[in-house]
Amino acid sequence: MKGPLKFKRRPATALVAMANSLSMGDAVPGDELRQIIGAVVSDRAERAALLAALRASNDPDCGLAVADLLTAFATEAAEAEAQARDADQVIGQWAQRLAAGALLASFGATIADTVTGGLAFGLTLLSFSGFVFATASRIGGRVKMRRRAQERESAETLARHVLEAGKLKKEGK
Amino acid sequence: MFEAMGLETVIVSTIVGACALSFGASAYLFMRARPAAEAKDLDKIVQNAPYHRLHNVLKVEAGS
Repeated sequence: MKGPLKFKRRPATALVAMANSLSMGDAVPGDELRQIIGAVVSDRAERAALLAALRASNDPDCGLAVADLLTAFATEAAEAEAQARDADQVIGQWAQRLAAGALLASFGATIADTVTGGLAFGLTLLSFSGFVFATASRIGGRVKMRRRAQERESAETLARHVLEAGKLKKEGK
Repeated sequence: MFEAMGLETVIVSTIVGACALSFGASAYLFMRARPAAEAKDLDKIVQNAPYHRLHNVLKVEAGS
């Protein structure tokens, strides 16, 4: 795998530049670094460009610094994923159950004629919309959770491939 | 304790309370799931990355 002699300015080369700058002691804003890693990890072309750029670089430690940044990003994504899962299981599930219970209770009260007329209709409508809202919010949270899991996995595999690329280079293959 | 309130009031307030709790929890979940605001435009970050540090490590074009 031989890359071009001159690389374009793109997220992959920006990540290499940032990792190099960090290893030389310069500060790089954390949110910019996170955004760049997110862009590299989620795009196949950027992943390929990153591996090519690291193979072409003259500094053997550059790949190590990039792999470490990727692993740190994966750890952060795993933490966010765990928090999203907790929120879904502790809050989302119970919100949904509470709304379903209220819906059944309003049905029961209406059938038993304890609550009648417009009030009964309003209660049923309220608890039904509560159930729909709770379900929708749970789906939204789970989509985020899945995206985080995907980011974590791609960052982990990319870090592994970066280290492999460094090894191949050292062996002169 | 509840005799003075009447069955209807107790049931209606229980259901309304449960719905309010559920709405509150769902609103909180929606707020959590909102994507975080992007710090800056990605192109701007790519253009302003510290490429000068790469001068003898990797050749990167000056323009975009």
